[in-house]
Amino acid sequence: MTTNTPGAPEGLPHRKNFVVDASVFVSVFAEADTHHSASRAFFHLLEEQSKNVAVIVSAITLLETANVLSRYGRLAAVDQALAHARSFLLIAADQSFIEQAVPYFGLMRLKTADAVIAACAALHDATLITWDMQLLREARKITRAETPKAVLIES
Amino acid sequence: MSSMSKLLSVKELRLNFPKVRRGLAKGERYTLLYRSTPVGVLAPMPDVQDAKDVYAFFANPPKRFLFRAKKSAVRLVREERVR
Repeated sequence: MTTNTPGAPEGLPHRKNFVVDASVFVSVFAEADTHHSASRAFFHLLEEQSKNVAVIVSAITLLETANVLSRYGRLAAVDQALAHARSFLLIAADQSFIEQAVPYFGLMRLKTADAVIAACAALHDATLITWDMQLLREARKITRAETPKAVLIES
Repeated sequence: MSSMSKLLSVKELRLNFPKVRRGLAKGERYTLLYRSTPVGVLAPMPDVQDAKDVYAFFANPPKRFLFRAKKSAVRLVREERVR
């Protein structure tokens, strides 16, 4: 995960960008979820590699995660998660993003929220991280997409 | 990261870059103006140590923050997207 960027100055480490989907964040807090342990292990890997990775999140991802946690009464978790998420690169659907993202929509068969998240990864040269196989398959038409488990195995 | 940002003209940026750089180091955000029109945002790079703490939070969330659901995380999120 620490290859140099082509054309980057010698010795400058390449930051690997990950766009993390809400399915991964929700899985972190859903202790009965099949992927709960792997989702947490993925973030542990990021912790170990923190100098060389960057997490990018769509505003939709934060809103979805916050809504699910709220419905399960985990309001303190929402506050903490949002506070920590300030360190992520947050992508809002502003005019510039919309103009760049919309051309990708016709290349995938996804509902709007999914398409926004996939386009977010494509626009930031990032790997989309999700447990949602439908999103993963379609996103691969425009960008890299993996499950947290695949990233853990690769590392 | 503060949600408030200071307005900064291109001319001010050119003349006062050391001051702007110190501001960025303190966490300030700037909205860059060209001919009185916002053209971009200057924001600090995320702090690596902060990021490490953030990843640690999601790797080891406090037990009281966890919940049990009959549905998978994928299903819970999928329902957010189809309702």
